[in-house]
Amino acid sequence: MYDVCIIGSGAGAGPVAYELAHNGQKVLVLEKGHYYTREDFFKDELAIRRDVYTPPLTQQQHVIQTQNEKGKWISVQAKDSNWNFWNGSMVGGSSNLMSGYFLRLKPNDFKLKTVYGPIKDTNIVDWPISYNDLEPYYDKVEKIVGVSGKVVQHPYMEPRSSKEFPFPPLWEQPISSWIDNACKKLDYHVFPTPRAILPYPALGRLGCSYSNFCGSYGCATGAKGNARSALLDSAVKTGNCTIISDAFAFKIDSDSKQATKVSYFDKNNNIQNIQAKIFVVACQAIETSRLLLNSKNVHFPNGLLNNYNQVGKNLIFSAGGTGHGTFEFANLQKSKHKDLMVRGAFVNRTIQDWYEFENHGKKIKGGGIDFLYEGANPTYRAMTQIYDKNSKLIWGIKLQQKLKHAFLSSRVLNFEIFNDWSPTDNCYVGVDESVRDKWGIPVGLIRLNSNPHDEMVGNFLAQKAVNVLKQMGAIDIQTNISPSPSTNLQAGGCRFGDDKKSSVLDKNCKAHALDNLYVTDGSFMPTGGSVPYTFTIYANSFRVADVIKRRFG
Amino acid sequence: MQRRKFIQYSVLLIGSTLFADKIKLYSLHVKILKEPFQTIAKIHDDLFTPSAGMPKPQDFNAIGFLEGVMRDPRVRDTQKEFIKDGVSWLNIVTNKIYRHNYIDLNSNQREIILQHIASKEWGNDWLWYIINHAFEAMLSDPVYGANTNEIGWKWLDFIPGEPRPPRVNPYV
Repeated sequence: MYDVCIIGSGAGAGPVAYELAHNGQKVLVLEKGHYYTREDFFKDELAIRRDVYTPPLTQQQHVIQTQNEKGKWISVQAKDSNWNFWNGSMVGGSSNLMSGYFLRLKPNDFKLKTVYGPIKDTNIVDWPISYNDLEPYYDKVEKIVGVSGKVVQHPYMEPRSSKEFPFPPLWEQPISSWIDNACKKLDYHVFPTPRAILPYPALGRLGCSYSNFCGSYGCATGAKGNARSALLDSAVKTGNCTIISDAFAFKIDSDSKQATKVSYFDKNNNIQNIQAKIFVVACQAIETSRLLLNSKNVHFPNGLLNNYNQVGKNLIFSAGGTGHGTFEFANLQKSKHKDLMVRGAFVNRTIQDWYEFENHGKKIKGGGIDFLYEGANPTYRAMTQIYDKNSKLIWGIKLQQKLKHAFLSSRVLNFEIFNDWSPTDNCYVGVDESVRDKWGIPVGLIRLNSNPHDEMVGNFLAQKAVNVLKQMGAIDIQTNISPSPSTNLQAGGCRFGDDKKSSVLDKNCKAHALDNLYVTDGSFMPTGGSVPYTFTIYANSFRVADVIKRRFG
Repeated sequence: MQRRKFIQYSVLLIGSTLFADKIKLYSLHVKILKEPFQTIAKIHDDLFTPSAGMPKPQDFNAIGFLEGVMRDPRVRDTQKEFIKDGVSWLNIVTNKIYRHNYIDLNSNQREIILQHIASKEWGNDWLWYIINHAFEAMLSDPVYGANTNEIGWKWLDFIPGEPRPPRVNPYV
């Protein structure tokens, strides 16, 4: 029997495996995807376009429900649509493919309801822990996973126990100083975006190779702080951690007080069972809820931990959107052309001046803006050129001239807006018994609903980003604030809280209903803050790992 | 694609597990074309008439790559059917207007037909896929058997990232 069995191997799993293996516990990690290492990752756009790191939707998928104009809920299978909620099925999970924007939550993110009040038709609640409870673990992640950056004071700078980041900022693009100058003129506070990427060899890993292809790509050097490179490799080296890949966990059994075993399909599609003293679920939010809901027994007839119908509820994503502006060489001095064509360096600029702002005399929660260059993927960039200004498809000489211009005579600077996705009754995970995956297990059902408040906040922030681009001299500035979910930023579904009737987990992310089951991916989050989730998932998982360690004495 | 993966992009990311032996054969060099490839090859010539220095579709093996797309298990069957059906629908249109198939029309007539179908929803979507896969052929790593001698990359001064995919693809 293992001391701890962890289901999943991404950001929620890595810290628990790392801490407990180093503490001497026997840890087993079950991962549905393959066991790739950094030698398996290449800068291959076609592989990314073909989603080679996620399951084929004909074999594993979701059912998605959205509301039509008449208010009717319409279901569609992912394989018949453009939806895809898989994000990296492999050892290390989707953290392999992240960009590693590691921004902390702010103290007020832990008490949204108290500070900003309720929002109509949403289920916003305070967290059962405070920023101070999590701060030591943010600090720990910065040091163990490796975060590079520079601390710059700004109005919403969160308190830090370490004065500086353990690693200096990555190599920056010349355009980063253009952003700095524009913000200075606008009286905005801009700072270098902290990244979970090593600027030089450290922590037993290589430094960044500045390959020009980072987000969506696996890291070939190990510089990116994904769960495998940063944590699991080290856990395995202790001799106390075993990783079984190609292992799809489909059911957790329990008695009335304890989880007793997990069943999984191995790579030959045979069913195997694992017993452990403690079970940790970290399959990414949607799949964690699906696993629990599919794990029915006499004690939990509606699914494991689902005594009060809370499992899967209050699923959240990240609200906001994107925008961009173009810099035309023809409008710039020749010396600036070179600046714009620098390859490999990072833009790395963030503004959080409107993390909260006043709206009609009331203080409301805002969000953040990050700047980055348009991705280097050539096919993707070429496809952005196939329409004219009237949205008419073009070809022949017109298209060819436009392509040449886009690649050789201009450069696009993007921005991304992150603000809270408010939890609602109509955004949740269920299971659809009528649709099965390749193993015959009911697939997850995802009902999607966004609150208009979130879109309003996103649009407010986008206008601030537009101001920066205008000040910089960009043209063709466009924004796209969307009510669609960012499918790679998932949280919620197993909220933590003090009340066992309205939450699934206690404040230590242990199930209210079972003594030996924890959930450590983003499922625990009742609200998500206005930053990408991975940093907070890592920090919380280190916090929970300390709790579990104490149980082993 | 950066960290925010929006649904509007996912249509571009329809996707391939490309096994080592299949990689070598992803893009065939087809000499005698059967439908739908015969018509699509003509469409390629019309969409990418050499000018502004752009390589010819034959030079980056656009049609051979498309043949590979039609065998790619990661490309949805509905998309493959749509590409095939589009050729039939195109010829219904050309026969209605000119009483000939697309490949038998002169270049002016073909341009009129392209403009005509681009104004229809199906035609716009169909041409999107044709252009999309042609650009994949022109701008993907030559390991896939297209973008011959990096001809597409050279045209746009594109420098690939390292490490590049090896001959034997590891996505098994």
